[in-house]
This record gives sequence, C-alpha cells and structure tokens, in this order.
Amino acid sequence: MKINNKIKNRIKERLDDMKVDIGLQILELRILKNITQEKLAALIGTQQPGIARAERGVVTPSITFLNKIATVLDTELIPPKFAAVEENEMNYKNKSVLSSRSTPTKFYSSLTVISNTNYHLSSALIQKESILTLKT
Amino acid sequence: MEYRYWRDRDNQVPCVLQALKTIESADANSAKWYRKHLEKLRKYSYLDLVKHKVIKKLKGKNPWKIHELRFFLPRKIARTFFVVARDSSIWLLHLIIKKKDQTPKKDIQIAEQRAMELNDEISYL
Repeated sequence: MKINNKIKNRIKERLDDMKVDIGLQILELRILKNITQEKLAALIGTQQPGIARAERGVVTPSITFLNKIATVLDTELIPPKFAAVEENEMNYKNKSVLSSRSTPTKFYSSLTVISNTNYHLSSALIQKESILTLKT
Repeated sequence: MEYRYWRDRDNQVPCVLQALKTIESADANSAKWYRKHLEKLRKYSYLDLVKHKVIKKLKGKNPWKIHELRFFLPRKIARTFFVVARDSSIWLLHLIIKKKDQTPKKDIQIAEQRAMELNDEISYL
C-alpha cells in the first residue's frame, strides 16, 4: 500500500516538530541534573554522539532509549498521548462537574453522580464535588 | 536571564526580530521553534548554559566579548550573537541561519559593529 503524498508530508512535518521537542527535553533534563553528554552515555551504555544526535533532533529516539535516560536520572517518563483521546477525557471530566451543578440542589443528587462514575474521577475531583454539595 | 533587543538608529523594529520575520516568511516552523527555544532556555543561568555549550564565547581576538546562542531547529542551525551587560541582561544583536559549517566573517563583523555602538550607549565592558 502506498501512502498519499500529502499525508506523507504532513507526517514528516509533525515528526520534525516532535524530534526538536524531544531534543529540547533531553537538553533541559541534562542541565537540571547537571550531567554531561559523555557521563550520561556511559550510564546508559552508549556513546556520546548518540545522545548529541538525539538532542539536536537528527534522529527519532525510541521510547526504550528515553526510558533508559529517565530511569538513570531518577525521573519518570510520561508516555505520549493522542490529542483526541486527551480532549475527550477533558470533556468528560467537565461534563461530569457541570451535570452535578445542573442537578437539583439535594445532597443525594451529586452523590449519585460520584457513585456512577467512581472509577474515572480522581480524588481531587471528588473533593470538588463534595465542596459543591456543602455549598448547595 | 533577561533578553534585550538591539535596534539600529533608523529602524524601529529590533534587528533580531526583523531577521525572525524574514525567516518566518520562508519557513514558519523554524521561527516558531526559535521563539520556543528562547523562552525555554530563559530559566537557566548563564554558567549552566555555558557548561552545556548552549552559549559559546567566540574564539580568537574578541575585544567586545561577543557570545553566540546555539539553537538546533528542524534541519536548520540558528546562531544568535549577543553580549552580556553588567546587570547580567542579554543584548541580542544579530541572528543568522547557518548554511555552511563555518560562520561567515561578515556576520561577525556586523555583530562587532553593533556591540561597539552599544558600548557607546551603555558601557558594558
């Protein structure tokens, strides 16, 4: 199967963007942790030019490579996200808060909302809702 | 770090921003990335950036103490010549996109002249 040329170009552009973004991230992490490229390479088990290439955005570093850097420098790697899924989640959260507001001012109304969507709500959100019920 | 932009006497727009506009007209993406680099690297101190080779002092006889910012944009390499004032603010003088490995002498001379004019206004040396 051949990919359409337009889509090909779009993929290339986005990839270029991401390469630079990841490179900047590595550089900033290195500045924060105050470690040179050579030392970092020795910790991971590669050589210095590999890290320099990733930093300049010449290559797309793999997730395993980034995970290695994160674990060596005592941080966590946040996995990449799709924008559509993230937007959907945000909308869902906003809707659940709004629905609790729009319901009639009774204690059980907001409580039922919480019990229905228990898995998805973070602890902070539950606190918010409890404050709302107190106010109403 | 605080950025300050040098502007010529005739021009109202600072030189670096004008150069950025010309880059933006040809390639909007790299201009966007240049701005992002400037913003993100503002958080770190001068010494940190020197240690990690984001900032480099020019080699050879350098009476005006000109430095350069080294940014790697997608498929392009940008160099910004600047000078550090006494209040540790950074005066951006000149911006180029590199086309060869060596930085052209012409651009260094432009930066030197602007640094000279700046030194007349506020003696930073």
